[in-house]
Amino acid sequence: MINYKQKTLANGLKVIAHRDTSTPMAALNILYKVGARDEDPKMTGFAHLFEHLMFGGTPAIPEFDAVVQNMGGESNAFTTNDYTNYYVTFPKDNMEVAFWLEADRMKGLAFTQKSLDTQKNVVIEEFKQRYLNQPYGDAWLKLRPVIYKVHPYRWATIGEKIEHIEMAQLQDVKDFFYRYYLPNNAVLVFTGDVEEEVVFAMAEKYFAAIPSAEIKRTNYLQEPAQNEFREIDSDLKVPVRSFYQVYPMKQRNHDDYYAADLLSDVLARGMSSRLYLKLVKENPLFTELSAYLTGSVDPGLFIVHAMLSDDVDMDHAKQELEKEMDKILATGITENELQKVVHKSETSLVYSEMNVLNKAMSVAFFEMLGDAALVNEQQDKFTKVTTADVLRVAKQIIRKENCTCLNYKNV
Amino acid sequence: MSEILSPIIPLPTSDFKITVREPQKILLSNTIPVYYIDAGTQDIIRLEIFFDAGIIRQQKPFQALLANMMLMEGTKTRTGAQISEDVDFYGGYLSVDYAKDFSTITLHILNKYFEKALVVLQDILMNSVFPESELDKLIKSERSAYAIDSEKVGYLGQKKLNEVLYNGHPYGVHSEVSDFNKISRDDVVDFYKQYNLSSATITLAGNIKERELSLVDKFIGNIPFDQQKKADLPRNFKALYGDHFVEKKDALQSAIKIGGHLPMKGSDDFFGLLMLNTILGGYFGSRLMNNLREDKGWTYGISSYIESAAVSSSFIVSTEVKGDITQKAITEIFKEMDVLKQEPVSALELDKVRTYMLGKFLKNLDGPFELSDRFWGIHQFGLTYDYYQKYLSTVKGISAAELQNLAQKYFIREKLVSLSVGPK
Repeated sequence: MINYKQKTLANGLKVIAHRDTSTPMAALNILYKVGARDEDPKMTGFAHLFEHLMFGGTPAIPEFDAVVQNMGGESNAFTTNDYTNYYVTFPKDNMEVAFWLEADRMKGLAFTQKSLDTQKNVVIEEFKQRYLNQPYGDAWLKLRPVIYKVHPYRWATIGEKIEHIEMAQLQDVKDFFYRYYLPNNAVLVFTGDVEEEVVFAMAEKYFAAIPSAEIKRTNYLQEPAQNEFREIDSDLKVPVRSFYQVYPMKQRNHDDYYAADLLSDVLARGMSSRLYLKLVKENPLFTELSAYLTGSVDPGLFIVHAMLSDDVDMDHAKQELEKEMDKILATGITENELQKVVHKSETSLVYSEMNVLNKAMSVAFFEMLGDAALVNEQQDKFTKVTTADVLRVAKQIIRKENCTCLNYKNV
Repeated sequence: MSEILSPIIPLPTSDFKITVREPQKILLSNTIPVYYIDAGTQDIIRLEIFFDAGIIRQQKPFQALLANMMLMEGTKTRTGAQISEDVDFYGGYLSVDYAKDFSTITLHILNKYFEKALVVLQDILMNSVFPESELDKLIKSERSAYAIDSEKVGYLGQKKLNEVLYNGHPYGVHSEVSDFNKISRDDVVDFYKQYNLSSATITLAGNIKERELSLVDKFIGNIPFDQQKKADLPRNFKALYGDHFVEKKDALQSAIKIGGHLPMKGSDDFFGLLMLNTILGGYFGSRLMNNLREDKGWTYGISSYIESAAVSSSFIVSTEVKGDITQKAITEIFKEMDVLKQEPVSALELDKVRTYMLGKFLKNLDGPFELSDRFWGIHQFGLTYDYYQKYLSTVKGISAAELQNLAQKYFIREKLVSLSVGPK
């Protein structure tokens, strides 16, 4: 349970404070409601490139991180298809420096050509290191445009291709900043041993004067329902054959998300899960099987990923996997299986509330989804799922004509 | 736009109140030591058992790995699947891991289900049977994981670095995927002897009260074991300093590893070296990051770190860069070491690093698991909490001249390995 208080400043900045008296550390998390889905299809990867530039200094300070280090803190950020999240952790004695820093860069950046040029190179190396120079690293670059034909989820946060990153100009950076990095498009969460009223006063002191503006969102189309099986092969040479089967499903804040999440756990979470028992242990057609969800703000994906054992025929392995899926679709899951994965979700939740940073990120995420209060409703939502819900959701998602398959056959 | 923010950055403090909390110790009925930390806000427990069964005890490649993983694969009364099921059902996480010097079994569980999980843990500790059929499957899946890793330049670099830094020592034994064909169940069972409880240590962290301690004694304190005299640790190796290259055709990036040996953890120079390492490549604002990433944009990241093991500490610089600038990047890395040898660190930078390290240390003490990790981080080397006092006084007090001396003493090209993995 995370107890918090919230306040909205006159400029629209949402401020949420959670007091944790057990620790000398504090976290300041700012989430901007802009992600890769807001990008121009001709300049993908921009939201993530921009995230790098947020560390490149402002008119007041040459370097963001140097000030963070000077207060005994650490900071980082990540970009998703839906949002961009920045955080700083620090000894709470220095909270005022953290507030100053975040307000300073919300006010404006230095916008230097040098910073842009360097970070373009850094991001291109990141592109290579994480997506091109790893076996299977290209999976999502390949899958997204086949699954999403019209929705901007069709490109990955890193971008559709390196050329798009090379194209970014300083003017694009400025335009993006003044369009999206607005107080009324942000959620600020502070967690630490500080009274909520003190947090609100400090937010007021440093952020209140930052002007709000109308947020001009991109218009994009929602993805129509898929109604044919799609299959592609990667020509990348890989050490072990592998495939992904990906199924479109509901969005993160839909009630069916919870049943789908539990279904993925029953299928492949841990060594006592169904697919693992049947197809890795009893009949070892695979060396590894996993199932997980993207949990995105717009309708997301249910993913099954498999690594094949040597000398096993891929088609045969897929048929056996399909048989296991068919069993679930025919008879659902047992009460015992449901209870197990609900217990697992409970442990995960208790864990996620162990430190100030995780708590700050969770609260910000749920506020972005619609309401911070959701953070304390998660366990209840998992507990309420019935075996009938899981069966219904499984039937909705696991359908051949709802599936896209990516194969790695080239060993 | 008018000035809307205070132009003056609030002054940070580096005067944090830092208290290093030590665990309490009890002996179970069978004399296994338990070090426990009762802290935190959540009703959760982490129990770790450390065994003197790391790579250092290995005679053949993958023995430590397979023996460790086979602990989860079956007892006299439970199959591997049942072991997992009986812990999973209560939302617990039972995992095993191995490293250079120790192997571990770790349990994470909510307090209310602790007893349920201990039943299974006890069974593993007393009745593991290493079924041949499960070993075959495990070898298959580990072989395929190994083959995947072997496509990654970073992994190949780390492997080669161990081989040349610890040439002639179990840490540095070369392995190939074909070594998986040469290991038998006998090799695994033989290695399992290293898991003798007479050299085990238990740590407990989280919501730990009388109840939890007595449960541990009930389930683990009653396990009989023989006193085992362990062989002396192998300590000899002959590092192959100098340049090394591993070809990885059509890689888009090269991995670079530069490494050398340092004195043992806790020895006199060690604390200053931790600080020197931080300045060079140990944090986001380090010299290497500023040069190779923030200035030149050659890499997504570069870092240096100190890794302590039972027979030596090593110092490693690690990065991945575009293939055609590999040599230039290596030159820049050595250049940054040279600068530290030639010029004292400025007061401004030194103050920044001091504050950063103090804040980081405070963060590393935040929470029961972190406190427990700090304990094991010294206890495994036979060090006491005096270590952290020395650490704090070095961070607060070391001078630029002392750091420069350390750079001159340890950043010696002839005593460093420089290797790259990538296209020719």
